[in-house]
Amino acid sequence: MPRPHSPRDRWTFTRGMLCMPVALAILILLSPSTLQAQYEGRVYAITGARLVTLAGVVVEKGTIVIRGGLIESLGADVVPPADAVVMDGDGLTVYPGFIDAFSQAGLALPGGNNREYAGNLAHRLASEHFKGDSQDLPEYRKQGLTAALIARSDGVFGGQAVLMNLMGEDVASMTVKAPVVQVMGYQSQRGYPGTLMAVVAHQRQTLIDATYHDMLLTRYREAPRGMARPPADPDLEALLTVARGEAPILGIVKIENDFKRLRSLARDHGLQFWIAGASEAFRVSDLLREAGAPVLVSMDFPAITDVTGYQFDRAYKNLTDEEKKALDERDRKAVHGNAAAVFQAGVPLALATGGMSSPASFLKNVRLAVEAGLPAEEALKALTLNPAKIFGVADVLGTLEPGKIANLTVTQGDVFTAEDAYVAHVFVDGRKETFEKPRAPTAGGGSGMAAGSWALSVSLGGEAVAGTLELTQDGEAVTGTLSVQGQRLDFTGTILAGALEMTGSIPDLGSATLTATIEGDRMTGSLGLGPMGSAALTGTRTPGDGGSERRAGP
Amino acid sequence: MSMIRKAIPWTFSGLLMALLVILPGAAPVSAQDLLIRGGTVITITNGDLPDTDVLIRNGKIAEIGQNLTAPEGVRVIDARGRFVMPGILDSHSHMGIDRGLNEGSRSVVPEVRIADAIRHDDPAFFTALAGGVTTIHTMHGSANTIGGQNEILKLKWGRPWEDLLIPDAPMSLKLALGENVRRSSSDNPTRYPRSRSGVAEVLRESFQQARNYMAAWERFEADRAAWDRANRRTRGLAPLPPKRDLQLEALADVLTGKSILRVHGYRADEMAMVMEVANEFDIPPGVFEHALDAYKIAPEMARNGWATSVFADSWGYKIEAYEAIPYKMLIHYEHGIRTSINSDSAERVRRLFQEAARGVKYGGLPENECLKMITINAAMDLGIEHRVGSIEVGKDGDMAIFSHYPLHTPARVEMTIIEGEVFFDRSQTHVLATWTQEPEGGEERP
Amino acid sequence: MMTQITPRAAGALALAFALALPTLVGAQQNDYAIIGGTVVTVSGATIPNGTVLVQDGIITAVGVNVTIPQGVERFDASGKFVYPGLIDAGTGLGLQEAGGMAGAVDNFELGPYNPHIQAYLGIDHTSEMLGVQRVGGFTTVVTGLSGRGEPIPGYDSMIDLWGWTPQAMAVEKRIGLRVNWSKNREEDLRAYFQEGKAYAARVAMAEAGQLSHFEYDVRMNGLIPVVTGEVPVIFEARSEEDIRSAVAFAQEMGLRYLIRGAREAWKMIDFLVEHDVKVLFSGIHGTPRQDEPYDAYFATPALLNEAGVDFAIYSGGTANVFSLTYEAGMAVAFGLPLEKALRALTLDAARLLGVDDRLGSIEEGKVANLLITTGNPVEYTSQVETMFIKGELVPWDDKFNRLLGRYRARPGEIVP
Repeated sequence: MPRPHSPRDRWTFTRGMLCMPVALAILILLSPSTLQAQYEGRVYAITGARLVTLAGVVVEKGTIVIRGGLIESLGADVVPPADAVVMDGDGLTVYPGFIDAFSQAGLALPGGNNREYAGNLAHRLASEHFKGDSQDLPEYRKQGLTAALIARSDGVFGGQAVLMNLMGEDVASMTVKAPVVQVMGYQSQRGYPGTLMAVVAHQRQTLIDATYHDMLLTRYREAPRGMARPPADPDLEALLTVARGEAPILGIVKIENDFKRLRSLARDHGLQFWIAGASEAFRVSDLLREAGAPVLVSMDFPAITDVTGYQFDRAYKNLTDEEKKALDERDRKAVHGNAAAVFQAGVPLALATGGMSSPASFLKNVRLAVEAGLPAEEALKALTLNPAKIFGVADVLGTLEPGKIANLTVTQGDVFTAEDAYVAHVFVDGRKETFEKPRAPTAGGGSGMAAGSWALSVSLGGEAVAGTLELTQDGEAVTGTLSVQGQRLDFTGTILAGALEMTGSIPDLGSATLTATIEGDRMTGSLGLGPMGSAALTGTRTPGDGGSERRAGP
Repeated sequence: MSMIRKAIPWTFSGLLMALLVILPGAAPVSAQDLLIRGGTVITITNGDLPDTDVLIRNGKIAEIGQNLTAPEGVRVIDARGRFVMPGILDSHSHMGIDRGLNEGSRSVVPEVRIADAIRHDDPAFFTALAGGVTTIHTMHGSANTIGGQNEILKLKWGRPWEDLLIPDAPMSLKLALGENVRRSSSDNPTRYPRSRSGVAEVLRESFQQARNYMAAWERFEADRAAWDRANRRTRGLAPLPPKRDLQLEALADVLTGKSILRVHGYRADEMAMVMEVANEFDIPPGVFEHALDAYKIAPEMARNGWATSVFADSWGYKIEAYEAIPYKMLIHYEHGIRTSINSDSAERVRRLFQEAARGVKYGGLPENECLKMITINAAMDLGIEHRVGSIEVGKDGDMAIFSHYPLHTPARVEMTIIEGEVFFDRSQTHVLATWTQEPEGGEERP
Repeated sequence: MMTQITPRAAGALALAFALALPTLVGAQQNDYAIIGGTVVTVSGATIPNGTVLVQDGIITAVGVNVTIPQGVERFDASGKFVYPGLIDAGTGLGLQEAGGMAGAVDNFELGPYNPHIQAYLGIDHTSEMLGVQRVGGFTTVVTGLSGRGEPIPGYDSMIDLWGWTPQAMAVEKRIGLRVNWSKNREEDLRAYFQEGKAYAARVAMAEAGQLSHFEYDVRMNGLIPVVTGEVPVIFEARSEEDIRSAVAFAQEMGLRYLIRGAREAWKMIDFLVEHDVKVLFSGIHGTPRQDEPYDAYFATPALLNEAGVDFAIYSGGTANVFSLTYEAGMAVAFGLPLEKALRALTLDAARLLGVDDRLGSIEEGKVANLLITTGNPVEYTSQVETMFIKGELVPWDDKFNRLLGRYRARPGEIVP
C-alpha cells in the first residue's frame, strides 16, 4: 500500500490499515473454535454432584465440565475452569442425557385432508417433518429427554428414523445421526391399504418388489446391453439392504399378534428387525428371547381392557367383586411390568415415549415400571447406554465421558424411584435448560379447606358485629349456616383454590352472598346483603376444628 | 419359486395318530385325552349309536364303542342321557378379524389374507362355543368382486393365536356378486365395476391375468432348466424370472384348484354367470355363499358340482333376498346339491343346531341330513372333512354334548370339546338362573 | 325319522273338495268338522281323538262326542294335532317391503304425537310379506308403526293374516297405543296425557249437552280410548330405569298398560312381580354383554314364568315373523316349559292384548283360527299342514309355496 500524502488519503490509509486487524479479528471470531464458543455461549461446571457416568464407578461427589457442546472433563478432583459458569450440584444427580428410543417429538405431519399417503416413503427421512422449535419439545425435555429417535408412526413404510437432539437452532444442527433405521408400521392408509390385512399384504409385496428391483439393478450393472432399463425407484432402493437382510427394519407393534405378524414376515423374507412399541411384550417374552431383537418399549400403558386376552378370564364368568379386583390388579401389574419382562427376556431394552398421547407421564410410568420389577439401574441403561448402542452412537452418547456430546440429565432426587424427584436441568449439545420444581397439587379446593366452625367479625354500619359460621364441605361443594345477631342464614356454594363463594337468601329481602378467601385458618371477604349493600367480614377457624374434618351442620 | 404348496406333512402326523389309535393304552396321558361315556353318539356318517363311548387320545378319536375301558389318568365325562355330536362348523363367519374385514379400496384384492389380521380374544368365540361350534371359517367381506383369502379357526378360547390354526388346511378365496359389490362402487363412483355385466368382465380379466402369469413362470422355468443344462462357458447370464405377484399367485391357486372359490351371491343369474366363467377357465366348482336363489337353477348347480352355504329361513332383508324360500333345502337335497347352513353372524352362530332343524320343518328332510348341513357338509366346504365333521376313528376329537337330540326343542349345549379338551362347560359358566328346570325330556342323571 | 315330504298335497286336495262342496250339499264354505286329531285346546286338557266343529267361522263344539250336523264336511286329522293359530304380539308387518324401499316404508309418521294413527290403515295387506308368515303357523299378528323414535307413533292393530281388505283382516283396530318411552320424556308425556284426559272429559260434557260449543280434534280423539282405560298403552321400554319409570307413570295416570321390549327384565323380576307388570318380551336371541350370563335372554322367559310374571312373546319383525317359534323354542331349552311357550304365542298373548274372548285357544264360541300340524308348532321340527282363519281353509298360495311349486316342478334343459 502506498504511503498516504493528503489527510484524506491518510484517513483512507488509516481506514485501510484498520481493516486488516478488523478483518483479522473477524476472521478469528469466525474461526470454528470461536464459532463454537459463541454457538455454545457458556462453559458450565456442575460441582459437588453425584455423577452416574455409566462408564466405571459412580462419582458420589464430583464435578463435570462441559465446553463447546462436549463434555470436557469430569471427576471427584476436577476443578472448574475460570471461564465456567459454576452450578452447585449439591443434592443433584447427573446422568448421561436420556434418550427417547422411539418418538414422535417435534413431528408436524400434515393432517386431515392433506394427510400424506405413507404406504411407501422408504427413502424419506423423518427429520423432514421435524420442527426444532416445536411447542412440544420442552415437554419432552422436562422428562429429562435430551435426544430422541424420531420416527413416523403413521405409515407402512413411512421412511427412515433419525436421531435428533431435542434442543437447538435448526434441524441440521440438531441431527445426531440420519438415517438410523428403516421403519415399518401397521397403520391404515387412505385408500389402499385400509385394513390391517391389506397392510400386511402390502408389506409382503413391497419386500418382494424390493428384492426383484435389487436383482434387476444388479443385472443391469453387470450387463446392461440388450436389457430394458429398470425404472428408478428411490423407495425400493432405500429398502434394498433391509430386503437383503443386511440392515434391520424397525417394526412398530402394539399387541401380541402384531409381534407375531412381524416375526412371521421377517421369517418369510429373511429380515432382521428391531421392535418398537411392544406394549404386550410381556405376553410373548419367550418369543422375544428367541428372536433376540432389540425392543424399544413404549411407556404408554394400554388400558387393561385393551390388552389381548382380557376377556379370557372374565367373559361369561360369574366373578365376585373381589375376584374382579384381583384380576384387574394382576393385569395392571403385568402391563406395568412390561419393560421388566423385556429385560428378563435378555434382549437389548430401551425406553420410549412413542404412542403416548403426551410425554408428561413418561417418568411417572418409568417409575411404575421400576416398581413392577424393572431394576432401576436397567431403567437408566435403557434410557442411555442401551439406545446409544442400538443406534450405533455409543462413541458419542450414552455415558458421561470426556469428549462425548454434552447431553446431560440432572435430577433432584431419584426419578426412577421417588415420586417427588424431578428433572432440574437438561443439557443438550451443551445448552442448558432449567426446570422449576413441579408444583404439588394446590391446597385450595382440597377437602377440608372450608369446613369447620368459624368465628366471624362483620362490619355492619361501621360497627364490628360478631357472628359464627358453621361450614361443611364435600369435595368442592360447601354448605353452612351464618348466625349474626340472632339471624340465621343458610348458604350453599363452592370453594376453589381457596376462594369461597356462597349464596343464600334472606326472607323478604332476596339473595345474599358470601365471598371470601381462606388461607389456613383465616378467612377474609365480604357479605353481600342485597339492597342493603355489603359488609366486610373476617373470620378465624376455631382451633381443633381441623380443616380436614367434615362436620354435620348445626 | 415354485407355486406348488409343500407336500402335506399331516400324512406323517396322521401315521403317528394312527399308531396312537391302534395302541390307545400305550401313549402317555395328555391334556387332550378324554373318555365320553354312555351318550347317544351321532356319528353323522354311520348312524346314531345309543349308549356308546368315545375315547379321544392326543386330540384324535381313538375308539368308538360300548363299555370302553378308560385308560388310567384319562378324564371321564358322563354323557349318559345326553347326545354327542361332532363339533359344529360355521362355514361363513366374520368373527375374530382385527382392524377391518373388508378391503374396499379396490375391487380386486386377492393378495389380502384374513390370516394376517386375526384377533383371537373375540368374546363372540365363547358364545359360539356355548352353541356347540368348534370350527369357524372366518372370511373377507363381500364388498369386492374379488376379495381376500379366508381362514379356518378352531375356537380354542384362551389359547394363543397359532393354536387356533389348522395346519395345511386348503385355502379359499372370497368372491362377491350383486348389491354389495356394486353399492361399494356407487359410493366411490370411479371404482369399476358398477354393473353386473361389469362384474363378469372383472372376473374374466383377473383369471386371464393369472393364466398369463402362470404361463410366464412356466416359460421361465423351462428356460432356466435349459440354461442349467447348457454349456457353462457359452450359456451367458441366467434367465431372469418374472416378478412374484401375490395377487396373481392367489388367483393362480384358484385356477389350479388349490384354493376353493367361495362366492357370495344371491340372484340365480349371477351364480349362473360364475359357473359359466369357472367352466371357461376350468376352475373346479366351489361354494356359493347365501345362494338364496340357487334353488331356481338347482339342476345347473348340481350338474356343475357347486355347493351352497345358506341361511335356513332368513329372507326379505334386501331386494336380493326377496325370493328366498325356507323350502330351498328340500330342492337342494332332491337335486343332490351339497348344502351347509352358516351364520354370517356372531349372534346366529350360537344356534346353528336350531337353524338346521328348519330342514325338517320346511322340507321334511331326514334329521341326519339336517345335521350334515352343520357338520360334514361344512367340513367339505372347507376341504377338511378328513379331520372334522363326523365322529369317526382318526378324526379330531371335536364334539358338542347336547341335553337332547340337537334338532329337538329342548336341546341345549352342555359341553363343547375341541381335540379332547373341554372349552365350554355350562356347569362352569355364568348362567342366568341355576334353578331353571332341566329342559323337559332330559333323563335323570344318577 | 322320515316325515311326509308333501304336506301341501293334502291341503290342496281338501281345498278342491271343499270348493266343490257348496254345489254338492248346499252347506256353508266355512263349516267344517275336524276329526280324529289330538286337539290341544291350550285353555284346558288336551283331547286325544277329538272333534272340533266349526260353523260360520266360529268354533261351535269341541270334544270327543260331538254331533256333526248333516252335510258338514269332515276333515280327517288322524295322526295329527289341532292347535289354535299362533299370535305374534308385536311386528311391523305390512308397513315396509323387502329391503325397506323408501316408497313402501310406512312405519313412521311425522310429528312427536300421533295417537290418531291406526296401523291397519297403513298396511299393504296384499304384500307377500304377510302371507309367508303363515308357514310358521301364525294366523294373527299385532302390527304397528315403531316410528323413528317419536314418543307416540300410533296405535298397534291386530290383524288376521288372511282377508280381502284390511278392514276384513282387522281383529282389533286399536289393540294398544304404542309409546316409545324413556325417562326423560316423562314430563312432556305427562302433560300430553293430562291434556288428553281433559279432552276426554270435555267430549263427555259435549255429548251430554253441557257445552254450547265444541269441536272434535281428530288427534286428541286418539287419546280417548287410553285415558278412559278402554285400551292399554303399550310402553316400549328396555332398560331397568325406563321400565320402572314407565310403570310408575302408568300407575300415576291410571292407565291400562303393557311393557313391550323389557330387555332388562331379568334384572328386575321382583319389581315386575310386585307391580303385576304385564310384559311383551322379545329379543330372546339377543346377545348379552361379557359381564352378563351368556344365556341372559334365552332364559328370561323361564325366569318370568317361574316368578309368575304375566308375559307373551313377540318377534318385532317385518320379514321373519314366522321364525318366532324358534325363539320360543330356545326359551324352552333354557327352562321354559313347552306348554308355556305355546301359551306365550296363543292364549297368554290373546289375554294380555284383550282378545281372549275370541282367540288364543280352542273353545266353544271362539273364532276358528286353527292349525293342523305334525306336532306342537313351537317344536323345531313340526310342520303346519293346514290352516283355518275365521273358519276358512287358507290355501298355501303364499310366495314361499308358489316359488316352491314352480321350481320344484321345473322341467328340462340344463345350461350351463
